[in-house]
Amino acid sequence: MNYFRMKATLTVFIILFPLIVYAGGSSYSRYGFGDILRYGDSRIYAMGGTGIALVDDGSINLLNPAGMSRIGYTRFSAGFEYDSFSSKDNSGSSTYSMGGLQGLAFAFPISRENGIVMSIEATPFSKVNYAINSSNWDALSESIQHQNFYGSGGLSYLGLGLSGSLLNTLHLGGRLNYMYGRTRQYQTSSFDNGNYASTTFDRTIYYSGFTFTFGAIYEGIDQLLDFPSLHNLSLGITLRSANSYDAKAERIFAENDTTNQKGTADIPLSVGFGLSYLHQNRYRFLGDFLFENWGNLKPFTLDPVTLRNSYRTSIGFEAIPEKGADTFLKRIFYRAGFAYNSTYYKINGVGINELLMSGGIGVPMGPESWLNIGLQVGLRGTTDNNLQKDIIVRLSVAVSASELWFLKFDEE
Amino acid sequence: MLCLSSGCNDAPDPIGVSTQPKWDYGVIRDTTFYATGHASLPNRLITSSTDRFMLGKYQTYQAWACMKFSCPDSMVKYSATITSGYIILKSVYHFGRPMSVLPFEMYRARASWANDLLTYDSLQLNTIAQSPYNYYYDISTQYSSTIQAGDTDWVRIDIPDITMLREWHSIGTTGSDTLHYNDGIILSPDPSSSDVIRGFYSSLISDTSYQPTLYVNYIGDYGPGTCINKVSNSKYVSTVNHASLITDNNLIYVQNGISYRGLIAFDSFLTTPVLIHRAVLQVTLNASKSSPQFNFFPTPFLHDSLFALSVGADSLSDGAFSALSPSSIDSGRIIYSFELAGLANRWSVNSSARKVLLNGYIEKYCFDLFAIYGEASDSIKFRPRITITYSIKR
Repeated sequence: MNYFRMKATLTVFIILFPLIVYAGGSSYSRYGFGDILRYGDSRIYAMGGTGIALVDDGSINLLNPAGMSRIGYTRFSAGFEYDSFSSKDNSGSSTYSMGGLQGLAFAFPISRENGIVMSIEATPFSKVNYAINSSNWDALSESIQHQNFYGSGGLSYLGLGLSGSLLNTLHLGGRLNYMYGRTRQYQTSSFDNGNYASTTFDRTIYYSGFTFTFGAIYEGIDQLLDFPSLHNLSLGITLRSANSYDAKAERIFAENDTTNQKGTADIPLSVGFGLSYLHQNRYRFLGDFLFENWGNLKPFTLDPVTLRNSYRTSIGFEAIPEKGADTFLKRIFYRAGFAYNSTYYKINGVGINELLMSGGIGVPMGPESWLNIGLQVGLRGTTDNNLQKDIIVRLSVAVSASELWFLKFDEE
Repeated sequence: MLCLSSGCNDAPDPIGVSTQPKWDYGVIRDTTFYATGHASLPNRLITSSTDRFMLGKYQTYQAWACMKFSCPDSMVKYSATITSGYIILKSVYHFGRPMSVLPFEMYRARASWANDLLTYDSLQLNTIAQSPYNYYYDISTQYSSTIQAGDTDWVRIDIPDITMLREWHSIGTTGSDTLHYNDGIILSPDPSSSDVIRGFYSSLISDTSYQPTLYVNYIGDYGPGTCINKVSNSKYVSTVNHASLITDNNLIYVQNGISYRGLIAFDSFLTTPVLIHRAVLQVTLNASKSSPQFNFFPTPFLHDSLFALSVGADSLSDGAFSALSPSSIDSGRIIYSFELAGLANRWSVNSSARKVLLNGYIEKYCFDLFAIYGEASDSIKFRPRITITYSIKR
């Protein structure tokens, strides 16, 4: 097969494959916008989602738009993620799986000298996926009422970003995010008493709105503190603006009675801090802290669930291949990470926390191009207070490539 | 493949059931709404599709019968001489005095009466803008007769009009009968002395031996013979004096055989969208104003059941929803209960449709009269009411 066609086929496959797989997930995603995703890029993914201070030409940093300013060639990335949730509560356990698009991003350098890079991306922001069955005695009908709840949907955003560098040590970036999507819950109800009709209820909430992400990365710590050994240390910060999204709830009662209700859904300010240290140009250490004040938002009238402030702490590590490595294994990137996520879920009075370990590799596919494979394994929640515990396994397969990948070089 | 190999589960299960917001499950409640208005509406009864037709008069009720026989000319050749003819009917029902004599008049029909728009009034008025006769039946061909029968007896009606029989057998089986030689006969009860309305099987009864049959005796080339034809079409039209039927405006009258139907309105209903799990309409019978008072059956009703029908903006049945209720006894009163969840769902989105029409079960087959307590009944427990069992959903 033609080399170029093979690459194009691989790219298309990764983009389209998410459309094929779809199943269930965790019942926690019923709340808020669902499970908030923190992708960042396939490379960052394998490092526990750590990368606020990462500025590099090997990937498109979706966490911090300032991190794009070193990109020297047009670059794109596309990934697919497969999730598996093994959930258990006091009644038993079950396993759910699903797959979906992880992100699609393009970055175009405009001025390499000034670090001006423009990006456009489409990335999932949250994911709702659950299927729950409830059977309870109903005194009025004097029978068991069976209810099924199917949750689906989530939010995504289209981002238009721009980065620039000052003095080659201060990188700034901004991204306009258009957030859109819907969360849907479809319910069915039936009774053992045949006099009571089976009913359905379909509630979909549509969201749309803008936020703005500002990012900065500073690499001049060594000069600022006159401490040369900190030459490869960088600090990063991100701010995502708070905003009120337009929200519209469509409720369909028994498939014939439809109501529409408009409202607003607030998204909070998000503040992130990160640091990155590159040791001997071979080993990169990263750390991030992210805070979002979900708990201080005004109640969402269309679906007034209780949320809490969330914060996320993570560390990451990347082993970078030695230049001129002579074997395939030596040319592979090795990555690992750890994250603790105090999620915005607060259910039955209990905050839901998540521990996550990650690892992955970056397999070179060509000039400035890698097939990144990442694995995250996490624990979330507790079975106390009638809650559920999730064992989460996420696998990411993504292509991160530059325009050089598509060029055909004549063999010497 | 990954999904399949891990044995994933996308069917709902109870895991996480207690993590969900309480309002997702909803609280099941019930609320009763009482009727706010009613009417008793005459309705056109389409009787040509039933296996029964009626003839007779009782009190102010009247039923006129129409019959038509298919008479191929090949069966009685033109050269044959018709000597007599008669019709045999199988009795099946009565309304009024069981063994009362039933005097009636027979007329030769001169216009098609098969149209569903035919009413008692139009037939009794006997004018129709249709050449060449400009009337439904020919009053000059009036023949009087009387029958008296029980509910399972056979009845014979002689047809003395030999000319008519001859013409019936001379118009052929093909081509249109543009001169209306064979539009059958019209039977009208003698309003002065009839005391019963009697039902007979029509051609639609599956047992062909019960179908109305025309016997025509003739003398042909090879001697006497009898031509036997089954009835090809029949119907009846009926009426009742409105004033004698609607004697109490507080009652809802459902009269079979005419028909009158009861229309019940519910102006107040659920104000917010809900999930309706059950809706039960209940109406209470006023037995003293219903059939038991004047129908001489061993049981007061031929069929003690009512239909509840959805209606359109014109207050006529639109066929979208219907429910049948047999009667039940509650504290000595006959109650009819209808399961109307589908209709209640419709009411919840269309306030102008919050009406329900009651008609008697098999209303073309009998003259059962149901008098239902209306919304102004002294006792609230007699008033028409609909109880909705529902869940509120956010």
